[in-house]
Amino acid sequence: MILKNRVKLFFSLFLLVILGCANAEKQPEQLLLSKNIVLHYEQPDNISHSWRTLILKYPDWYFSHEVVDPKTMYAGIDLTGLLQDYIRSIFDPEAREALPAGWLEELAREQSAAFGIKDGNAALMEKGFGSLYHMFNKEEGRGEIFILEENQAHWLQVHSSKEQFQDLIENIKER
Amino acid sequence: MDLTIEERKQLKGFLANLYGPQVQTWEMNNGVFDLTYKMLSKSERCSDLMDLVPRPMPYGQSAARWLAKEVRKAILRQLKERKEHYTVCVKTLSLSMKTQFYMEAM
Repeated sequence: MILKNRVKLFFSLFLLVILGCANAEKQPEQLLLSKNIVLHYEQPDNISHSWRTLILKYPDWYFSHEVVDPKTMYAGIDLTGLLQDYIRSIFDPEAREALPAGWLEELAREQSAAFGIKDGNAALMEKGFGSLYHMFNKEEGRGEIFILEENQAHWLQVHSSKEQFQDLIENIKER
Repeated sequence: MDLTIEERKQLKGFLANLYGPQVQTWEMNNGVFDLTYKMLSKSERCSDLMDLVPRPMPYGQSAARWLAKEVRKAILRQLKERKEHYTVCVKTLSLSMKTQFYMEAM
């Protein structure tokens, strides 16, 4: 009887350890985007880093992250001091009026069209860490996420299904 | 047919103007040419360049392989000679395709 109980106990413990290991594998990783923002992500197939861009690749989707450099976002245009307003104006036509030059308004309009922003596929979420603008282009299976913090802007470009894109947004959290 | 050394050089020159010095580390392969072609053909403002191309191109074809060698050469020569013009006309599209370029070139 004692032996039977010990065997039961042993198998119960063994099962707990196995389940614990399985759960531990599923714990999301954390990518610290800044001192205020963390991205929870599942282990990708591979991660590559080139220049300012980090790319995480999964079997059927991928996304990149970079901190936007106002001097190199566009070749030959320096957006220093204007970057946050400019990014806002890509998503918000009314914000374009606040830009200091007509050609910048035109650039924002053109960028909005190039991303494929139209009624109903873009949104703004105000978070504790800043403003999160996002859009998903269903035809191209591509989404754009811009996070505006006080002193910097993050850009995530996502090639995925709408559901995976939505999951990614939900996994961007305040630290 | 794969890109020649000269064609790769011309393509890299154009993309470096668009994306900056990071392009120096990119591999200029057929996939990168195809993406560049896709970007140029999507831009209405680059339509003069697309006039060089016989259409319609079969869906799903690699532009690098499908285009006659002479047409491909002519496109890359134009990109080299009028680099500034074509950089401007795909400026916003290039941002929406940036990660795709990374994926093809790395």
